[in-house]
Amino acid sequence: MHASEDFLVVIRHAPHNASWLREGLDAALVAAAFGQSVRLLFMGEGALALCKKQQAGAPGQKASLPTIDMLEMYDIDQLNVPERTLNELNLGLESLVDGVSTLTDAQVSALFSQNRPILNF
Amino acid sequence: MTLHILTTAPTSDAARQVEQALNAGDTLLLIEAAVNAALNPQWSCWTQSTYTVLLLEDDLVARGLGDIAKTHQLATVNMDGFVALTEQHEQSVTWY
Repeated sequence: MHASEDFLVVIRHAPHNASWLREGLDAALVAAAFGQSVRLLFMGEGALALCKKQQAGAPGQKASLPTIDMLEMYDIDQLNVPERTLNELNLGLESLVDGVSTLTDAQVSALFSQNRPILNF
Repeated sequence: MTLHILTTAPTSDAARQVEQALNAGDTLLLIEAAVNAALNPQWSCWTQSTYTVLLLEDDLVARGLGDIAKTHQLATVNMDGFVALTEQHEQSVTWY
């Protein structure tokens, strides 16, 4: 991991249930649009946002997968998930979109000790 | 040095997640529903010793848990203490 990014955005809520995910992704995109480097950490149910087979869901429910795919266009390529989260969810990397890297417990806590803004969704 | 603020019960996902984020020297401040942790002095955050854990008095008293926290000898802080904590730490991260 190179030196810390300008922003760490933590995503901890699943798609479709509430707007936390959309708000977190929007915050990351806005930061990136202003030239800030952003790292995304998907914890707990937030990792479900990375499932590659997501659909739009019922009418009126805005899909979030297109936003995940758009992250790359904004040079957001640091998508991290704790190994612990994947084990707890019994979810494998192969179910997730490409470009996701897993972190050990030590790496996760290290992310929170670097001194730059942390946005928690 | 980060001030982590937990607003949900110690059994919640957010409580498990903040434990993964805490580093030595940080402070974990329990507010709102998180003050229910006063009922369980065996909770892992109470039994570790690398970071400080504090209950917000106002929310404890609101829930009638003030005496229980005293009997379990758990550390508390009042609103002024809360403000002081935000000044002492580089940043604060809230877990909903």
